[in-house]
Amino acid sequence: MLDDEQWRWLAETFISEAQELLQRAEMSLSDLEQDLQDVEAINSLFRAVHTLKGSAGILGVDFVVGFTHHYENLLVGVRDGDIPLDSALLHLCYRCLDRINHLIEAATGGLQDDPDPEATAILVRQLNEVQRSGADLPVAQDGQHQERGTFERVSPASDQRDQAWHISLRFDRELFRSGFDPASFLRYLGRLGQLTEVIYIADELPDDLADFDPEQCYFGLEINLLGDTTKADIEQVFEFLDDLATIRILPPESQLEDYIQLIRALPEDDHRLGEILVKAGLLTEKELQQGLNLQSAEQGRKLGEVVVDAQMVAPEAVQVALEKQSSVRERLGRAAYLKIASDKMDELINQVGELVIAAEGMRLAAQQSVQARISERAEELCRHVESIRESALRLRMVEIGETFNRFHRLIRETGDGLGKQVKLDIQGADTELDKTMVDRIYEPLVHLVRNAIDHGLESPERRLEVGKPEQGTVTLNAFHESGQIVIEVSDDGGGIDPDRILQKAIERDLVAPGADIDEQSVLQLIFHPGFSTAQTVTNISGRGVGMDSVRKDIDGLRGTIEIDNRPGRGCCFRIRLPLTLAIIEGFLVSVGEQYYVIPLELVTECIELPAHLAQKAEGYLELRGQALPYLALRHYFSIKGGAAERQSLVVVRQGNLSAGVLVDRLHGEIQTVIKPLGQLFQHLKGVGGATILGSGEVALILDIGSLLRQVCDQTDAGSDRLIAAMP
Amino acid sequence: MDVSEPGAGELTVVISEDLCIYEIAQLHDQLLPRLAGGQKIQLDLGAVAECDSAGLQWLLALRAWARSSGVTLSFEPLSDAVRELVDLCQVQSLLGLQTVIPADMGAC
Repeated sequence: MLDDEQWRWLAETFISEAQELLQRAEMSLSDLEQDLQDVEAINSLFRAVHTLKGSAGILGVDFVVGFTHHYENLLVGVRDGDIPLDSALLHLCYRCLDRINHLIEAATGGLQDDPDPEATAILVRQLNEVQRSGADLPVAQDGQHQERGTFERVSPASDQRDQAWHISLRFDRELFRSGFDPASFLRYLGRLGQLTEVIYIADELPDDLADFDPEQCYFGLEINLLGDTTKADIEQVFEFLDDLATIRILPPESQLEDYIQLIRALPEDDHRLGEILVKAGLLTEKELQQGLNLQSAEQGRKLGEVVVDAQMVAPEAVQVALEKQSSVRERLGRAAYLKIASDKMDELINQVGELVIAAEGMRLAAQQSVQARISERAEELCRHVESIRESALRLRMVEIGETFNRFHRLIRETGDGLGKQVKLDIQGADTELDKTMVDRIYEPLVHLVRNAIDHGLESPERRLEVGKPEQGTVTLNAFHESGQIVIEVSDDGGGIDPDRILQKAIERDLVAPGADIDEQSVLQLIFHPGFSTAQTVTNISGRGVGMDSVRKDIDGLRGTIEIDNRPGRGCCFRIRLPLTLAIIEGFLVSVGEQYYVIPLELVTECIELPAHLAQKAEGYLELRGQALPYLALRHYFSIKGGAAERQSLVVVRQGNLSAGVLVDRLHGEIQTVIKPLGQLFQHLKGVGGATILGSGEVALILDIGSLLRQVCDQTDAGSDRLIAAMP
Repeated sequence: MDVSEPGAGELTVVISEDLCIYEIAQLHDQLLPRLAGGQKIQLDLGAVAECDSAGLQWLLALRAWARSSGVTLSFEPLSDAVRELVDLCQVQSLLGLQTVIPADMGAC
């Protein structure tokens, strides 16, 4: 028997695996929602459910196994084409998945029995009904026969033909003039085997001899070749023909089974479909290239379909190759990932952080050393530490697509609840970001997406009135931009009405009546605590909580959020996040004895300027004809002592805000390991964290986002303080 | 090429040139105006030393024309070169010729 420890370990593994499988199953359902015929999605759904049943069985959670078994039976029917999949059935599939989720939760909560057998029984009844009614439908089988039929047309069953290669040639009119003689191909083929049948296709010959140009080629050939040869050998006969002919080579039907065997026996590497077919000798490199060209000409088609349609390969072979591919992928998918407890990962990152600091200290010390060898070694060490740092951080990177995919369901359900039709458009799913970030960005995204559906999208009637498609679109997009991650949540709804926000803000005493504020500032008001413009409170959103918590969450991630409002056409919430929370490229500056770090990606330029030009704590400088708000760190942090003779202005930019930060000295780039400030200092404005320098001194990391907002707010008051920065 | 009219509506065309891509256009241009009025045409290919696919295609085009115009067209005799190509492309029936089963295939 297992002891408690082992049992707990098993249970934990099961839970995390089950969650992953459920997620995969849900993703497959989302795919099926887009395309009910998506064979790959059905297969993957089935595999997920099947594996889930297996692992529940290992743990002996019978009530999970029992229900999952019924679900699996249904999916077998769907997969084999006995049960047609429609949206109603898809809905049932979703509900079954929910049920499994509940059951697993119950099981992991320690329950021995189904907490709600009634609910389970209802679903089981429905599953059985569907299976009974679907079993008589021969739809899919017909389809299969048809498919086989197209292949047979080319090589009808007959003993000899069964064993013969079939070669189909159609020539370009210019063939003769290009110096080719098809008769010579036939002679060559005759050397590879026996030409059992040559059919001369003369359909294209003009009826009227006057139209006949004897130097043009009007005919084609269908050839059956009996011989022990390969597709590549046959193709070689036509090597120089290139575009002058359409060539199809089909292997003997009797060999198809052999080829299929060959595909199954291929080594288990992750190959593209084309590679598998080429390796099995069913497709030649050249055909693959043609197939790929065809595929790129017809967007959205799969290579398998293209090569079958072009009669390069028999459909059965493509089917087998696809199965091979997905089974290998699944196996590799399992082998290629290593599960690591996240605290171990955090520990590693911390240690790498310490290593970076130590290496930095080493470099500083080596610089002062007279021994060239020491500083050389130190440089080398730093380079390695640098790459370790990068690999360690990459370990934490995950694709955002998985998070995005969780929204399919949310959108469908929120849309249904509000009587709106909503489509989710996902872009940039392969954009990577820190795992912690992914976990913490989900909640704010949920708020934003709900908000977009509830407040952003108009009702279907209103949309039709203004000439938009009835179905609204919510787009989730992610991409990297100058060292930051940008995540966009946009909708094609009515946009935000700034006047209504301003009016509401005045009602709530957030803004003085008649105040002169620009549109972006007005829009930012919706992030104010307790602010909601919804006329009615729906149960989706509109209770005045949400947007301020979105802002708080994003601030917590050292990110910013801006609103791109296009009245009448929609609205886009753009979130900018740092790539990682742990280590950043910093720019070290100092004021008096105190060091500060500015995130390097936000620095746009540095200007040296005499102290007397900028005596004020804040104001505007003129930089190349543009007014630039600035802030003196000496004043901001109340540092004692007089300003240095020559001060430096670091120009920083985040989003569309730009400002100057006045400091005494610039020290250059530095690898900055971010150490969070203690609880007491969490609310310090302008400081986002601290770091330890190589010398052992502490430097504060400036929170440029909040500094920028303050600078721009404060300097709004007066423009009389404008001074020229450039002499 | 030598064209003679042994009787009314009868044409005998003796081709001694090669039936290849280099000659075929010229042969076609020469023969085309002479075909009008011919009801029974015999193409003598006994002296053709070389024949390629363009030449064979020309013969097939003539045969197709003859059939659609109700003209009797025969290829008699054939040189070895023409016979070899006809057999290779298995177009005996298209040309209205007797199918000759090659010895090696007759055996199987």
